Formats: sequence, C-alpha cells, structure tokens
Amino acid sequence: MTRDSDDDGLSWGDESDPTHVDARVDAVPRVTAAERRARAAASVASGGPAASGGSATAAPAGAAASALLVTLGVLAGVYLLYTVGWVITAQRVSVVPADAFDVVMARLRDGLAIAAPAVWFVTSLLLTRHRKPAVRLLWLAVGVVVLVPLPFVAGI
Amino acid sequence: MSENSVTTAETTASRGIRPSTLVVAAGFGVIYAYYLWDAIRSLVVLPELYDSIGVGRETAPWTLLIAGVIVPPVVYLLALVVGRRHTLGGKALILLAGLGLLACMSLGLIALA
Repeated sequence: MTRDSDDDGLSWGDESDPTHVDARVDAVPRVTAAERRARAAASVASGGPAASGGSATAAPAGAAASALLVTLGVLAGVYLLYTVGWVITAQRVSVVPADAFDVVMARLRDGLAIAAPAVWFVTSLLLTRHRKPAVRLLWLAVGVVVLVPLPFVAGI
Repeated sequence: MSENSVTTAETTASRGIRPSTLVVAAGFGVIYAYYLWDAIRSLVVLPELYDSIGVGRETAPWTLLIAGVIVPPVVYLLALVVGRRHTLGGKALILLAGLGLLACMSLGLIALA
C-alpha cells in the first residue's frame, strides 16, 4: 500500500516510517548480569512476568540525552551567530594602521576574533568529552557570555 | 596498573614542564605579550592624545585602559591552569581559544571606541 507522499510531510513519522532512525542505543543504561538475575528472581518470587523496569529507567536517560543534544544544537546556533557578528564587526572597523607590523597584527586580530566562537565551541566539546554534561554546558555557557559581539549587539 | 600511571604523570608534572609544552606556551605567549604591549601603548598614548586635543586626561576611559593591561596576562595564566591536565594539543587549543577571546575584546573595544 502506498501512502500519499504529500501527507507524509505534515506529520512526524513513527517506527513504521522507513526514514525513522532510532536514538543511540548506548544512551540506555546497561543492565548488568547480576541485575538481570535479581530481576528474574524477583519476578519468579512474585509469580508474574518480568516487570518493565528496564524500559522505565531507559526513558528518562534517553530524554536527557535528547535534551542535551537539542541544547548543544541551540548553543551551536548561538556561536554561529556570534561568528557572523564578529565578521560584520571586523568589516566595519577601519583603523588606519601606522606601519606594516600593525597591518599584520590587525589582520591576525580580525582572523582570531572571527574564528574565536568556533574555536571555543570545538575546544569546549573536545576537551570535556569524558566529563559530565553539566561541565560541558558550563564551558559553552562561559563562551556565550565572554564572546558576545558587543559592538554588533549594540548596533554600532 | 592505573595507579602506577597516575603516579608517573604526577611526578612528571611536579618535576618540571616538558620542553614541548614550554615551546607551545612560549609561542602563544609571544602573541599574548603583543596584546599586553598593545594595551600598555594605549594606556600611555591615549591620555596624551586627550591632552593634546584639549579634553584633559581625566576624561580618558581609565577603567578600560587599565583592564586592557590586566586581562591578557590573566587570560594567559587561566589558559595554562585550565590546560595543565590536558595533552599538548589540548593545551594549544585552550591557548588559542584564550587568544580568540583577547582578539574579540580588542576588536570590540576598537569598534565601540
């Protein structure tokens, strides 16, 4: 059976959607063998089938991972805007340099300022790989505060 | 096993800085020093300029001028402190990010002035 492809664009696909991609499996906390045995023993003792405890604990972890991903996406957007802000600021600034050295350093300053948001974002993400999400977000938040393109925001 | 590697890392850190780290820190240090020198130059030249155009040196943005001198060494030291447990590449990235911050502040000041 073929569905109307125009209608497909108006709704979110579910698991039956051919383009559906499952979230990363490793976001789900691993159940150790000991826990599994304990759970099996408990279900035998209570006489019922295994409780759905596994999926109940997996859901919040998956939601947290998704929330983190969305937050990172938003932050990436903010950093991208900052890059645009610094590009425009660098273009607007026109200081008459005194000598060749000043010209080189002015170029370097412009380049560093434009690259700064990207460098901060990549550095924060790369070097906090094995840290808690809160630590990663904290470093990115610090960047959002200190790298704000003030002249651009102030409309100068 | 892991305890051994931790002790080795600690002794290396306490006995001295590795030459490669020193080279990276010094290389970035030169550019950080430029921003310090630039701020000192502004601190000296700008009040004189204010005097020469007759507005008086009291009206110079002293807070910004003094902050400009303090910020580069502070950022440099912070970058070294934050990067001390990272690899050489990590240290270089952190120093580069700090340099980007200085460049943003410098460019921002010029644009706002």
